[in-house]
Amino acid sequence: MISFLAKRIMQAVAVVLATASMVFFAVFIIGDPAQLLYSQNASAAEVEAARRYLGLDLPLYQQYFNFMGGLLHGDLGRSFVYGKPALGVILQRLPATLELAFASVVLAVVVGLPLGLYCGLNPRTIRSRLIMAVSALGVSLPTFWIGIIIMLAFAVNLRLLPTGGRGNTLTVLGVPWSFLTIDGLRHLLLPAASLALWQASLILRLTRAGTEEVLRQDYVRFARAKGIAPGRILWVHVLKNVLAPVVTMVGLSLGGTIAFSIVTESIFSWPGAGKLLIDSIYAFDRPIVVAYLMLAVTIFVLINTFVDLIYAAIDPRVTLGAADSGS
Amino acid sequence: MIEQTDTAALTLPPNPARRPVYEDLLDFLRDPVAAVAAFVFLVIIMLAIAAPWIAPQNPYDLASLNILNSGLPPGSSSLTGGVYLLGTDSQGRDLLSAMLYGLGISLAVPFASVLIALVVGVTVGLVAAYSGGRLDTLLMRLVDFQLGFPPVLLALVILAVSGPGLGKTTLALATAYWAVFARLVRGAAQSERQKEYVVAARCLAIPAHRIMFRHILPNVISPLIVVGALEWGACVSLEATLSFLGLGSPITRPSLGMLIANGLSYIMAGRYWVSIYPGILLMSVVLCINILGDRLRECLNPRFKA
Repeated sequence: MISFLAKRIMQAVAVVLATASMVFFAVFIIGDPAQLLYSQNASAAEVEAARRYLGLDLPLYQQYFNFMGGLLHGDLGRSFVYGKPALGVILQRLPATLELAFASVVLAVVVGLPLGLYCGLNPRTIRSRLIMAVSALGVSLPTFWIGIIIMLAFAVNLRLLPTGGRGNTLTVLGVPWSFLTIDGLRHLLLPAASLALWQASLILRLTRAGTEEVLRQDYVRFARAKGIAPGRILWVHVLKNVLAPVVTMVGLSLGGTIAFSIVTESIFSWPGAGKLLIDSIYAFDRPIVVAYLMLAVTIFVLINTFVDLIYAAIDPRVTLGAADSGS
Repeated sequence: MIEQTDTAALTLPPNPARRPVYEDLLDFLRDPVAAVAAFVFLVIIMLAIAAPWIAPQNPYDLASLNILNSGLPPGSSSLTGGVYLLGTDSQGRDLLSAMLYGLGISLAVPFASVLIALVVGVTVGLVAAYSGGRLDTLLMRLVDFQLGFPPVLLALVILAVSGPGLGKTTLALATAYWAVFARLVRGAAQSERQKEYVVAARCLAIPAHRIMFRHILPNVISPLIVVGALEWGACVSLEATLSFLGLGSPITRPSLGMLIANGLSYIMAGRYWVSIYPGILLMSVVLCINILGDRLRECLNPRFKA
């Protein structure tokens, strides 16, 4: 266990450092941000001063070492637009994104798991076919289109819910949260639902397929023959074996959710890190883009490691050594 | 799957590998949903190809646009005569024409990127599986590493750095998807590698690249076709997302995603059509491709046939 963890942490650090190098060379070589940031009217001397101020006049290897050195100290440069440390600007916005992502994952599990079980247990009914058809839509439609449709239906036409923003927030531990107030929840519902649809559809399909497969297994037949109550068979014998791939799916989709929240946040004006990323791309605010990327890589690596650990915990057949070498 | 057209196949007992093509096609269309999807998709493809001849207006010809025509509802007549069947967008473009032209971009850019991703992925996967050892480990680590990232984020970052453009979008999408093919081919090819025909080919001292591309590749082609089709659907969706964010297709040549984005600010004002019609078209494209891809999987995968 400990050697597995140590190995994974080493790998994670290597991945983050490798990504940092790639990001550095990709982002910093392609263009000179000083020319993009300053107006056409700026004199050559002004642009030169700006480049010196941003450290862009240094030779490339020195810029690289400065960048990597800063990274180790958690310093990812200053935002060109906000004039504050880039990491700080993002971290300030991150709770809103995480709130949205978690809300959508919870919504997806709460909707997807029971519906998947239902479809797996009653595959032939009209209701489960209808559910499967909707989930086919949910898997294939682009998230932004789902978001627009949901917004058009519930916010513009029916006027039931607000179209954007976070609404009233309650500050706990120095961070404002929307899910603690009624108004905040109303603002959270639509973006979370539009993010949740594809995950719910995936979870549903995975649960259904798993349930159908497990029901055919000998041990379920044996449990039935032994006279174990159907409820116990479902909740203990079936669910336990269905759950392992679903947990992986949920864990991995958390990463996808954070990525897709970039789109959803832009549609619903949710002031999270994703919207910040898009705004920063438009504003050529590279330190923010780089910092967002580094943070995203770190989060994804953490999630992947965590998923492996949970997977090993719920499925006794998986040993951690094997999970590590599989590719 | 290799199709053979010799007439002897017709008289032989049914053998799925040697049946004539039209029988496979009939089998494919037996599913009514797939048949409808195939028909709709055919119409969509023809519309996209015929766009320059059937579109009422050339949306790229700025001289023919008039800002006074912007935001007209469906069915209104233009200043120069003629009717805007689906209304106009914020630039005064005939929405139907813009959609027909955008459809082509929305289909072709993802198609090209899937082709590039396929070629790169297949090559990397075959090389990894065939060579084994340290190169295999290295290549597959790279693939694992990349698959840990959502394709949206990767393509988004590439375009954020490079700026919008059709060629850049194609490459960004290809970069986001090649790893899927590499892993698929590597897995399939690795099990093929153990088989007698590969061992025999090696004994005959046939060069490695010939074994990889001529012997192993044809045997792993059917999962590739299925995944390629489904990835095309995903790619159409992703291209639309990127263009929606203003990072994909350039403003002068909008794809469906950008047309939807252009209409977003109008939705609140009740001018729903600028977003809804391109959206419905996009939805139909993605759904058709996915349904056809799923049906392809059912037909090509013998496990589903039983």
